[in-house]
Amino acid sequence: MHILVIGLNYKTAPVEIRERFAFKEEDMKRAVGALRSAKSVQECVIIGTCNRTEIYAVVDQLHTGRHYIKAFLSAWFDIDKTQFTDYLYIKENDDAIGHLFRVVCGLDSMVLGETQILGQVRNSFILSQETKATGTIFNNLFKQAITVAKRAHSETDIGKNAVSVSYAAVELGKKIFGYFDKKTVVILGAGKMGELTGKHLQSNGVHKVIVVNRSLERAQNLADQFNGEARTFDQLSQALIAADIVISSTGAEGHVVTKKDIQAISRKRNHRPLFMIDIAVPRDLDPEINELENVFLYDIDDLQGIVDANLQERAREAEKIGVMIDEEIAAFKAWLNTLGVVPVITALREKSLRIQEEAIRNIENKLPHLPEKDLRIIRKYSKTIVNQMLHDPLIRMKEMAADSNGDEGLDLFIKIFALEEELANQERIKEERKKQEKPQLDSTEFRLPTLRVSEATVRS
Amino acid sequence: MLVTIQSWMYDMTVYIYAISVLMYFSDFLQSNRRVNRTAFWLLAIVWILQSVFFISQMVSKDYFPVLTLFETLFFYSWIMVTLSLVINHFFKMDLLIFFTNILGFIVMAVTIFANPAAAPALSEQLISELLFIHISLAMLSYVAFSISFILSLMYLAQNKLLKEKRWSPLLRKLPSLGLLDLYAYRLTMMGVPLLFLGLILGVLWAHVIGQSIWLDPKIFTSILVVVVYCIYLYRRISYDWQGKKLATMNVVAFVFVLLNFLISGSISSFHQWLR
Repeated sequence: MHILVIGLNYKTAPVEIRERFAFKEEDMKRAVGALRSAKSVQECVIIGTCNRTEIYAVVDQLHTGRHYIKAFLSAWFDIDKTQFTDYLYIKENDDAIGHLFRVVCGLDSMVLGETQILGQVRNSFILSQETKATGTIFNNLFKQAITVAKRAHSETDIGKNAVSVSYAAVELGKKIFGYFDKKTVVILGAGKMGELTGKHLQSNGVHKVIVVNRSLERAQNLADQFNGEARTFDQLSQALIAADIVISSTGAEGHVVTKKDIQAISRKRNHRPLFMIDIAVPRDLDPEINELENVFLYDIDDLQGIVDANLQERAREAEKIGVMIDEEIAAFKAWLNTLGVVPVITALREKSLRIQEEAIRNIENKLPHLPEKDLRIIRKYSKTIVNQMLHDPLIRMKEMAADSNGDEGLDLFIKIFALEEELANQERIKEERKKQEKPQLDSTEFRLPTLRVSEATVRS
Repeated sequence: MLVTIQSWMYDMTVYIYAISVLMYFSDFLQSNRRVNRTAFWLLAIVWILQSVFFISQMVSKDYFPVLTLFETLFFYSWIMVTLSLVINHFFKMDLLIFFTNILGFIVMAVTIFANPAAAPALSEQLISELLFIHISLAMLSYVAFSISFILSLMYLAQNKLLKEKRWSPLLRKLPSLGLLDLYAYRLTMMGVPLLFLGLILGVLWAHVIGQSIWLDPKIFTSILVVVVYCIYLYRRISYDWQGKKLATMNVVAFVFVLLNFLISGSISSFHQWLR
């Protein structure tokens, strides 16, 4: 039993390749079903976004698993294997688990720490679960991955700071004013960039938008989008008096607003703080304006500087998440190891139960005169002996199984208690049951292992 | 017996307070939410210990303990901790809590050097309800001014960073200029009437016990403090000054508060018991 991920993303494959390997939304269910019925694949989840196509699978053998998944990709998209093998990355077991955790936390994304991927992974997982393509292992792994991602976002600041210029402007505005209600934005020039930033500001609660442009008609067009007012440049100084935030992106040659202009209206503005964003090249706003008190002038380079600083901050936070992920991988592996314990526990339970029953039968035969009441007491206490005898070995076995070399411990355990026969017996019963309930898929046949020892006690 | 328990509890409080402030400092340098949360709970424990200590003092001394230097300073740091917990509950300004508690801790540490067993320098007859209210109001106004001062310092730091376009981790952690300005203003708005009332009560009390108020410089410096803060409020309300100038003025005004407090311990002929 191995965990495997095969996929391609924006780092390994150009967009021409990625677009050919995009699963269509409506075909997803069918694709998952087809993949699940491929040889060697026991559980599978397909994650498809515009930046990545990844197949997660539980396979019984690594090389056959790899082969059949590639064959599935080739058949599904009708592309020859040799054409895409170079773009694929294949990760196995620990690496695959780690990769999933990194992906879902947004550490593998183009925009470091984005949260969209979390929803996409969750949807893919739910879809696979609905088509019964997941079993014990993936049900657990993906739930853990989603929990890790949520923890990563709530415990670190990875997604906190803006990583685009227009969001950086909004963030700066928040730093200066704290809140945007009752604030007025003046957009100079009816350009695209000004429009975008204006939209971000408005969705953050800005009270009023005034668009100032050379031609009133274009100003009006843009202003209508914001339910705002339109002005021409003749009314610029009135607009600036009302303004708390100014976004300038005109195509003008010289400075549209100078230091003197702002100084002149400062008294009328009651010296309120003024945040000015200059996203035009060449610049519209005189850089000297920044020397004025309570006026904050940022140009496109300054905003880019903020974005860069924020990206660095995200990289630092990503390191913290990396440590978190290492811990989670260890936790998942410990759980995975305990999976092997469950059949052994069942075997031991069955065996001891049989011995106890046989002993009781012998007593009944040899002491037929005993009343039922006495027999019941003997039965009860013989079971108690079995349970108490098994209690500590079972706990120890579970601890051992969670270790890194748990398999060896488990083998030793099986040898000491001579459970080989019983295990084979169990396997046979399982096979038979499987044949009987063919339509019902794996998800029900594994029992979730519990770490409570009581499960293993002989029931009376 | 009670005295030993009290002094033991007092030491515990100082130690836990120190750890809490250190943890806030570590969170300040290297953002870590777990450390932040622990620091907060330690601070809550400090508050409980302080409260218990305060009440036990009240019981054992049989008066509202704000008469000696030790008692007033302790009262001050207790209010600082209380307020920072309240602020954390409502506004989540980690940095403000950090700075507030640095100040609170310093004051608390200073109280170690004051004699906790010092008896009030006043004879029993002179101690009246009026006096307790007078002192507590003055202390409350000092706390309001202190936090307002911290907020204004944060404003000036942030203003500088924003002007220089230095997008540093410190800048990320600071609350917005708008909020800093607003809360500094509100706290001053509370502090001024508190101090003013305290002054009036003090004058009344002096009149009741027949003491001349003209011999005491502390009264005049207190009036000066009220006037300076009134100018600050007037400038703000009339929109004469905004932002940086106001914050600077608030910082300068706090220097007067400090001077006022120090004078009371040295050259005042009248407020001599604060020793």
